[in-house]
Amino acid sequence: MARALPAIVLLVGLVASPTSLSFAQGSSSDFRIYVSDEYGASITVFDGKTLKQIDTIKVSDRPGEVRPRGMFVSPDGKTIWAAVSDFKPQLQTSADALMAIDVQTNKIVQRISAGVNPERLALNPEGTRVWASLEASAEAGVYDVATGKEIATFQVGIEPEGVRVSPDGKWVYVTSETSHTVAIIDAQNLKRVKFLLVGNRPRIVRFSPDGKLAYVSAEIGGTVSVIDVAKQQVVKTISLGLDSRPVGMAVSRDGTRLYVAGGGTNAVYVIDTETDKVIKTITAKMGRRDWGIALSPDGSTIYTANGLSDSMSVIDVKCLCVVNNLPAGRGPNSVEVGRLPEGQ
Amino acid sequence: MGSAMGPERTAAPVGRPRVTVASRLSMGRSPLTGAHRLAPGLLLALLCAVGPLPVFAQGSSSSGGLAPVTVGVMLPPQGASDPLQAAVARSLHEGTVMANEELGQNAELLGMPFKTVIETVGDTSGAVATAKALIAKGVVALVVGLGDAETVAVTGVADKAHVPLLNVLSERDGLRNQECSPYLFDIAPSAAMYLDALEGWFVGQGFRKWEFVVSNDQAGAAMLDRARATLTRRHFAARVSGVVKVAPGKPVDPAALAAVAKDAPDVVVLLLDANDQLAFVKAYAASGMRAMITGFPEPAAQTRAFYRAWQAAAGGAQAGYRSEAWDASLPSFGAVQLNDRFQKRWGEPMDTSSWAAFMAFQVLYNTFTSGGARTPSAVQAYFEQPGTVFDVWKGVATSFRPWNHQLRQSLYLAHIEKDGSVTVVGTLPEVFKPGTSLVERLDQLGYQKGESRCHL
Repeated sequence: MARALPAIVLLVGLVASPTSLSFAQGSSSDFRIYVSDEYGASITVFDGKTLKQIDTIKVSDRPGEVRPRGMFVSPDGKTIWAAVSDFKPQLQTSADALMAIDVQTNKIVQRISAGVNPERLALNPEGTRVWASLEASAEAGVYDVATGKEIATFQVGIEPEGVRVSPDGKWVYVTSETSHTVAIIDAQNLKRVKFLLVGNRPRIVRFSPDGKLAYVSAEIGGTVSVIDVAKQQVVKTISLGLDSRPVGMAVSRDGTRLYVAGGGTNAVYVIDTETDKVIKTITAKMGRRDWGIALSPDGSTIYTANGLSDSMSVIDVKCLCVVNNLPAGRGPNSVEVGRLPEGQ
Repeated sequence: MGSAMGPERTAAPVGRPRVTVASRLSMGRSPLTGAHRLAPGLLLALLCAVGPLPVFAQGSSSSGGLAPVTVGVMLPPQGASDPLQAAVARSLHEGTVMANEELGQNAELLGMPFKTVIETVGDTSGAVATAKALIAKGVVALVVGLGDAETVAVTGVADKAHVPLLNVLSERDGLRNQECSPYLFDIAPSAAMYLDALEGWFVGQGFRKWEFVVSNDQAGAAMLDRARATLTRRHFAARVSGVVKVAPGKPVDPAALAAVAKDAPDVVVLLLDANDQLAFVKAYAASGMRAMITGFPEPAAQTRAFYRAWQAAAGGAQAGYRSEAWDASLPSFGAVQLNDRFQKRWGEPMDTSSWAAFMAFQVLYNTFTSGGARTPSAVQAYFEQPGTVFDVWKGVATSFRPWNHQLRQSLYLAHIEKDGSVTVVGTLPEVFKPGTSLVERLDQLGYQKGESRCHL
């Protein structure tokens, strides 16, 4: 395990662009793809242009015991954060942490002890605070990136999972699998302001690029709830079918398409967000149990993390077809795309 | 948001002592681990004291929460002299309590609270009287974890009072047939579902000649009828090699063992109660027979205590495979987290009875929150509403069959190790099978539409 660097190093390293949009405007040739490997205790790194595996970052020497799941790339692309825990959900152990990895060196540069069983995480647009879902304690926690200190925790419902900060940095949405809820937290005043009931076993939450809408996938309900962020209300429920198992999601840059990973169905659902209709279900050549899903910076390619086939599927957005499948460690869980820092 | 809540725990600025700020509606530091858990009554009192609830679910106002609805629970008394029955009673109780701690507090948090009255019941007349008393108190639903006769009797009371009843224990097929009611909903799988699953697994593995050892009573006859019917209608390559009837609760008759040996089956299925299964398998192993042997998974035969006793009795016999509705070793669909919380809460694994009790409250939680139901008729309507689905930690959306109110669900094939530990090795029906309908898949087990004598 890499020794944590002094906070000042991180403060310098994590000064971020104003919003994540600036990252999305990068060219297609200067990015990396990160896949967290739940059973390999590692993160597999691909070059975005060549799709060559360029590194495997170890997050622990105990594969099969320590599991990285949710990830988030800092807005400036310099740091990849991973929520790391173990397979003993009720015990807080040394494995439970939020880890920051410097993408230049692929070394772990910060480790924040984050309650019991952190599952997913997200940074605010400034990159100064990291929010995490703490699965076993039914909480969300927020931590100061510079100091690594916990700022606050909130009760959010049983088995929290998905967590996301709105593009304007005002709200944090946290899903809870057993409660079937989304907790809305005022990120600036650090107040939990509302619960919304959504479909059965909500997993992941994503905001539209303009921040007006939030999408919440419900695995058992087979739905995507559409939340009006200003009204803080569920305004639509898109049904994908009882057997659809929606989990990970990615929104296109223009907000017109929502790509939904089908988890156990080995599918990706493509939703037209203007009509709320599924315009394509991608199944041919898909890897098995695609959970995480992400888009390339130019929006031309979709990547999925396939837990049961130990692979990453590469999907061309033009044909909405799988064009490649690549080995990606043991038990891929999440996939994120990060900008290559300047000079790389 | 005038009623917004601050964090449950905030950190002080660096260099200053940390301050703990308790939310007025906090579920506690961890409702899941038991630490700082608030008693429901205390929480309610706190709610009343601090005024309006926070803005909660879709479309709700911030003017205040709802008054709690009450759920009546009827369970067998704990501490039975039979260790297997004692284990079942304890499991039911533990599942009920944990569900109320978790889901009850979560419903509070949403401003849609419910409370629970738990009564223990020892016999049929007591069950009837208790059910009437609970209904008189205004419960919106009954959760019943009682034996067959008591469940039938209480169903009659619920039917008359138009109060929904969730059966979490009895697998009696009659309750899914002629004894059904519009107000009875079965979380517990039926005997037919277990038998269908067992035959599906074993026939699929090449076991063709089936020997049934059955109790010479009505329950044994009913299970034998179902087992025969399934073999005949679904598994053309399989056949019944023989049927041996035994007296319940009596020592194993050597003639019964000789009859089984003479029939030379591929697999022997004990349609007996849990204790009679233990006695028979012990005699079977001692006789030197080596054909695969398994038994009907009544709730007592799905406890860890039974598994340890079964393997100890089975000796060298091939006796490792059993059917279950739940197992503490399940690895997927949130089961790890649920099982782990249960283990931590009670110091023992979650078994089928505790799972069923917990899931009754998961179903009710959904009904009270997503369904907004606050009356018996609204609860029943939500259970029956097309499109209502429940998550019971089995990886698929489940629902009650419209024709007999049996909860659709998968079952598991477990391998019992010599030390009594368990590995789940099969799921039937398969959780995901492309190109097939989920509902049709789940309806492969148990009484299908048109087959059931219940016509709701």
